Amino acid sequence: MLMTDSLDLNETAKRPARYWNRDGLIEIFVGLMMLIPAVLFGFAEQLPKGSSLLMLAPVAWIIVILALKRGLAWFKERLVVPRGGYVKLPEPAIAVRVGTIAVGIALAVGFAALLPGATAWGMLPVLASALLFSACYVAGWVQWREAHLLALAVLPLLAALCAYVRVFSARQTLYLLLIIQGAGLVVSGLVRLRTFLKENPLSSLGA
Amino acid sequence: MKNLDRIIHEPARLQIVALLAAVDEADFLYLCKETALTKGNLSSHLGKLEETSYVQIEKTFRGKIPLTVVRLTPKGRAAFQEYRRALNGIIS
Repeated sequence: MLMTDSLDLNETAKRPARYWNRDGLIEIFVGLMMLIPAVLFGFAEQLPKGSSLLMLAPVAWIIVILALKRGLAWFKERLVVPRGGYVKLPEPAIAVRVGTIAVGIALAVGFAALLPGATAWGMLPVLASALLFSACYVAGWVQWREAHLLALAVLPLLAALCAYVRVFSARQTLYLLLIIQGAGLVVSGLVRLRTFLKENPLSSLGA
Repeated sequence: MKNLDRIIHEPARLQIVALLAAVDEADFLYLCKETALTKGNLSSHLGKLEETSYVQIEKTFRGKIPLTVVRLTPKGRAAFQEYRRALNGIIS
């Protein structure tokens, strides 16, 4: 901890990123990114095998992701910036981006390879991802000290426990995991957004 | 203590520089809210930092609303890093 008089420089360096996440929009965005594919692919499963509509689910997912990204920028611009100000955080390093994409691809390949069988082995990546999701929230809490992240960390574990008790298949467990977490994130994001808007009325300061 | 940059060492300016060091750029409103300084006070400190070329101030518009964007210059970033090193030296 590097402190001068009453100013903690390390703590101050974290404040812009904390401000960026304080409005809850990122949580709503991530929550919808989990909820929508779970609903889309769940719906696609109800369709008869070989239906050409099956191909639409991944396309719709990509369109939804792009729309959500634009929506996030739109809401940030109109709701957050006029109330709390504008900050541009540094872009993440290339290694971090490549690492994130690699983990995403590895998870997708793991699910694609192991889920169709729905065997005991098929449950492993789903349970591992429940633990991974939970660990991510705890890591977030350690870094940012936001108590609601600890509550969110319980959700994937609850989903896994519920799936175990109800003897769900790996696929059902994955959907449950995404739906419970997605809903949790959206609700928590909405609560934070409401609090942010209440605490930061439109400023008379101007930018 | 003599090694410390007096421009940065002033608490309000240190807070401004520390915040700007963590971002690419920020606007006046954000700095005002985060530092809890008055508009006049913040303007005065930013003016001093601009005089020493530690920050670059760009006045633009977002739609019809005036927007003052502030960013740390490479010189300001280097001065802040040097300040932290000097402070670490004093502490250890």
